[in-house]
Amino acid sequence: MSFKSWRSELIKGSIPKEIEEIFRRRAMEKYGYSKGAVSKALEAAIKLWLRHEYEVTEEEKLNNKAFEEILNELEAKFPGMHAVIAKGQLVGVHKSLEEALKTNIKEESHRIVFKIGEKPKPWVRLGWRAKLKPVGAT
Amino acid sequence: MEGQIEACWSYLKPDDQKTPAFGLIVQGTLGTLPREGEMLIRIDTGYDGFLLLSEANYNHIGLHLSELPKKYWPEGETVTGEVFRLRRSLALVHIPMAGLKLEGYVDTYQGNTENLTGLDFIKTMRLLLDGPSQRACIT
Repeated sequence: MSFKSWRSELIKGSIPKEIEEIFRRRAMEKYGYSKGAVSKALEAAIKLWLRHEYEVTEEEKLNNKAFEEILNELEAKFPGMHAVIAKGQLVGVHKSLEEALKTNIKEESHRIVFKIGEKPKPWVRLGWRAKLKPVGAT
Repeated sequence: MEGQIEACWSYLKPDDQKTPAFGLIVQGTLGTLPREGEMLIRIDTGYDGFLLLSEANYNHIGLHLSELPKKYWPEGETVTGEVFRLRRSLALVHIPMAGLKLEGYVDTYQGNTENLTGLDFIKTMRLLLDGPSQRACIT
């Protein structure tokens, strides 16, 4: 997702008064007491919100739907093995990741590969190198 | 890890600060990173995942073709408090100089240009950070 801002648009909406006051104050603290500070902060907030969730393609949706449908059965039958889902269906269950990665690619632009029964932790601390691009000063 | 050869790499100096790094190869569905030889990737103990790759590298070796289900994509938090969704894939990582082959999760996020190894990557290793000679070694 990239953003090119060659023109501005007006967005209208309403938020609680207390959030509006904090937002306006914090915007001015960060971007200066000038015209445009609130717009800059609003742009930063919207970018952050858009970044929070990925837009997924139809193929990704199809593969994820298949995953939800077959997960219980796979966990019962093949714990610890690696499953491959493509084009909305299970295409293989393998003993090792190496074998799973070798599954022939046809015309897919997305595939799901996972170790059956393994649930990764849902939260990651990114460290001091990883950062988002700043919105910039007014 | 006993009986293995010690493998060492000089610290990287991408900007003003030299940092420890490993030489490794990431194997994806469409190829390896790098195509030949090994790639030096910084060790960042502030990152608690396995391997973070830039979006370009993630897509280049086809990690979108070995991706975890979306429900297992984690949220990442930066040191400045921003929280956003990461994409996550399974991949094999080779460290040829140490004779190691690891399997783990590779993360990326929109706009990421960094490649980093994190705490999950080093959790099975004995590492020596040799400050005076500016080298990181797997012993």
